Parts: sequence; structure tokens; C-alpha cells
Amino acid sequence: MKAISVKNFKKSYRSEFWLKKIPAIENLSFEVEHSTVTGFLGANGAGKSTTIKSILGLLIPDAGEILFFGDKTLTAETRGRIGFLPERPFFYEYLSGNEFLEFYAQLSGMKLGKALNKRIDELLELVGLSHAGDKKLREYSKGMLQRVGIAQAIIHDPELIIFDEPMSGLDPDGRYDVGQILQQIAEQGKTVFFSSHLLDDVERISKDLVVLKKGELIYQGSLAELLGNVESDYRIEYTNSNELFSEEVKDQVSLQNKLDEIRKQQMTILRVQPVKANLEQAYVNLNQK
Amino acid sequence: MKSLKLILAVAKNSYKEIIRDRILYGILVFTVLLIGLSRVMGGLSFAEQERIIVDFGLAGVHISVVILSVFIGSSLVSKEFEKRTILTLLVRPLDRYQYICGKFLGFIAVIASLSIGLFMVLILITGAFENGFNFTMLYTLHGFILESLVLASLTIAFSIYSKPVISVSFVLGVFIIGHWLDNLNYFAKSSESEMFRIMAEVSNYIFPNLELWNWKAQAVNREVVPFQQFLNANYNAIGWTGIFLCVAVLLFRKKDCA
Repeated sequence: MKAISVKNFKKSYRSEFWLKKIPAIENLSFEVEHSTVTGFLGANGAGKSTTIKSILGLLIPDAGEILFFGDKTLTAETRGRIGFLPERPFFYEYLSGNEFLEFYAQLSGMKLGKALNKRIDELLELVGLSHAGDKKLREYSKGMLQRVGIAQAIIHDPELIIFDEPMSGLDPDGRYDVGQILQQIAEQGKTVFFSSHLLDDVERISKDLVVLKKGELIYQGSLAELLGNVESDYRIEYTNSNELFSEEVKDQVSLQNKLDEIRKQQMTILRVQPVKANLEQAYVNLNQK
Repeated sequence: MKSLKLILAVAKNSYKEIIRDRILYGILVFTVLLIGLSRVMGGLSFAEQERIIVDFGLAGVHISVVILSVFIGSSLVSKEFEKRTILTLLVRPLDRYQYICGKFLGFIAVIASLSIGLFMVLILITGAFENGFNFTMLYTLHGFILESLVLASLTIAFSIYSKPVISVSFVLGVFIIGHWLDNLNYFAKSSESEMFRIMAEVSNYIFPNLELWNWKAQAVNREVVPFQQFLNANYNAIGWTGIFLCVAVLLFRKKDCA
């Protein structure tokens, strides 16, 4: 089953009321499989946030169809099955962590009571904020706000969770922790769709990718497939007994030539190692096409 | 039932938001001082002491209700856009009309609480005088709340697309025209200009007549407000509030929440 299915989606903006509309997204179609973690990539201004907000009904599309869980349109019932964390979230600073989660639970149709209090305690523990439930959100750090934001996104136990840049602006510890939380959510069989600029994190967490360039789709598929398409480099380490050398070559032919050359110079080959292709390399190649 | 629960959840949060805002306490202190001043002003007159205290005191409550309706109301929705809290709200099973109704309800609950609280202070002051308190003062308080319903709904409608400063300017404009409509009609009747008469006539349809809910003079003069007039004023306020809220919902339905 497809968790999200976007067909021929178009969105344009008018920067000023009297000016002509500028297209932001042109005929975008892609799908997100159920129970997968899909990374949503693209440069600044590629249209990631616009697409996410349109999927969630926050922006009104000019054209196209967006379906959820197979064939359902965005209704109150569907929204009850979706969780969302926006980019750089800012929440009601006058509420405490507990009050904040209680409010969002109520908006998701959950009843106040012991069961909800237990759920809030569980979530605060999951995101590492058990100690801060009674603190006002104005006292929270950026990382804490991000964590409590994740908690509000999943408080109603949604099937599909959409995160817009969940790790942006966080320090390395915070990024790692948020990545761990995302992985834990994914392990529960939820569908996670998240945009990010941080390719290392995307590579670590996601299995599938959707890549946008200037409002158009340039890749949709598995991460493994994309990395498989990238030509691997080889690293050769060799020595002439006095000095250690290390060199990288592009392909098999270059590798063999280089090895012959080293042998001719009567040097010792210490190690030949394939250098694994990473997402950064694959992403750059994709964008240059 | 589910819809009502959602509206009440938004209203409760909106109530907390305003109640925990320091600006509210600024307004409160200002009004209490104004009511206190009415006592001083009353002391200046030997014969009309009670009248002056009631007049000044009610004016204080009126000003604070208007300030609250216009200034806090103008940022109530726009703040959610500015701080982008709206993004996490509207992705919940919450319709946009429920959001507007909830915000409005929470806001009105604050205005009503504040008006009643200030009125109690006024009663305490006027109650010290033999003829200080009169029943028409309660009608006046009700009139203030009706006026705030209309102004708050209008402010919310404006703030969907405008920045707070522009919303405040527009609503204060409507406030001035709304209190001046009776005078405009009076001048139009005696005017020879057809254009002026048409403009005055049109103004009656596009601006609420805010003097309909003003029973301050009756309270000061200890007159009774006719029940039919009171009833018509209520219908009128509910009608205008309904229109402005519908406009707010229609505008909000078409708005991109970026």
C-alpha cells in the first residue's frame, strides 16, 4: 500500500498580490511506500517544504491529486492518522511540556485521563524529556523543543509521520539523538517521510529517497539502488620501504594500470580497498545530470 | 459533539494564551487606575459625585474592553502565522472553521472575565455611596461585551490577511465610524446633498452601529433600558458577529499557511 501518492502536483506563488505567479512545483508525481523510511532531498528552494505543506493541506495546490493510505483524500479522518513536525518548530511557550502534549492529544481526538497521562509520560521518556514535563516551553533549549515537537507528532500514534528538516539547527549530539528517535519510530512499522539537507543522516536512517531539483522530481527509488549506480573508487596503499603512499583511482582499468606501475617500480603493495560510494557523491552526480 | 470538543480545546488554549500574556495585566492595571481616578474626580463635585464616579468608572471598563478586543485580537491569529504554530494545529483533525471559532470563543471568554472583574471593582467603589450602584450598569456591562463580540470578530477577520498594525488601524476606523453613525444619519437627514445621503445610507449597511450597545448615559442618569431595545441590540450584535466570523472563515479557507 502507498502511504502517500502525489500525482501531477503543481503549485505556484505570487510574491506580491499584483505580481505574476511564479511556479514552485511543476507536475510532480511520486509515491511513498507504507512502513518505509523515505528521505526527501533537494537544494534550498527546490520545493521540499512546499510539497510537504501541500501534502498536509496547509498550502492549496494549483493542480494535482494527493492520496493517502491507498485511495483516501485528506479528511479529518486521514489527518488523524498523520503526524507532522515542521521545520524549526516554535510552540506555545506559555505551556508546560505536559500541557502542550495534552493540548495536541485533545486536538487529535484523545480523551483526557489516566491513559493520556500515561501516554504523555511514555513519550517524554522516549524523547528524553521526562525531567522537563512541568517546565514551560519558553525554558526549553532548541534541541528540547525539537524533541517535544517529535512527541506531539506521534502522540496520537499515527501511521504516517512527516518531518520537515527534523535535524536542522541541532548540534551533533542532538542530531544523533533525533536520528535515534526516528529509527525507533520506524522500527515500530510506521511510515516516516522526512526532508533534510544533512545527507549523512539521510543515508543513516532512510531506505528510500525522493529527490527534487527546482521543483521537479529527479530521483525516486531505493537508497541502495542510487548508491549502486555510483562508480566506486579504489584506494591503494603502497610503500618503497622508506615512505608510505596512498592513492585513489576511479575504475578497474585505472586500478590495474596503477598496480602494474607500482610493481614495475618494485614497491610493495600493502592494501587495495574499495571506497564505498556515499550519498553525498551520488547526490552531487544526480544534480549534475 | 466531537467538533465542539475540538473548538473547546482551541478555546481553552487561546484563553490560557491571553491570560498568561503580560499585556493583559498592563491593561488591567491601567483600568483599575482609571476607575480609582473616577473616585478622585467624583470628589471634585459636591452634588454630582455618584454620577461622575459611574461615568468615569464605566468609561474605564469600556476603554479596556475596546483595547483588549482590538489590540490583543489583532495578534491572536497573526501571531500563530508569524510563529508558525498554525502548521502543527491545522494538520490535526481540526477544520479551519473550528480553529476560528475556538480562537474567538477563548478570546471572548477572556474579555467577559476581564469585564466582569473590572465591573466588580467598579461596584465596590460605587457601592460605598448610597446611590452609587444602579441596575442599568449591568446593561451597560452587557453592552460592552456585545460591542467586544463585534470588534473581536472583525479584528480576527481582518487579521487573517493583514499585519496587526493594519488590522488595528482598520478596526479603530470602524470603531470611530460605528460610534459616529447616529450623528452621520442626523446630518444626512438635514443635508441637501443626495450623494451624502446615499453614502450615509450605505454606511448603515456596511458598518455596525456601535452606539446601539452603549447604555452608559442611561446608567449615569439612572434610566431604565427598554427591553425591546435591549433585545434588538442583542440580535444586532449576534448578526454582525456572525457575518464577521463567516468572512473570517471564508478568507481563512483560501489562505496558504506557509
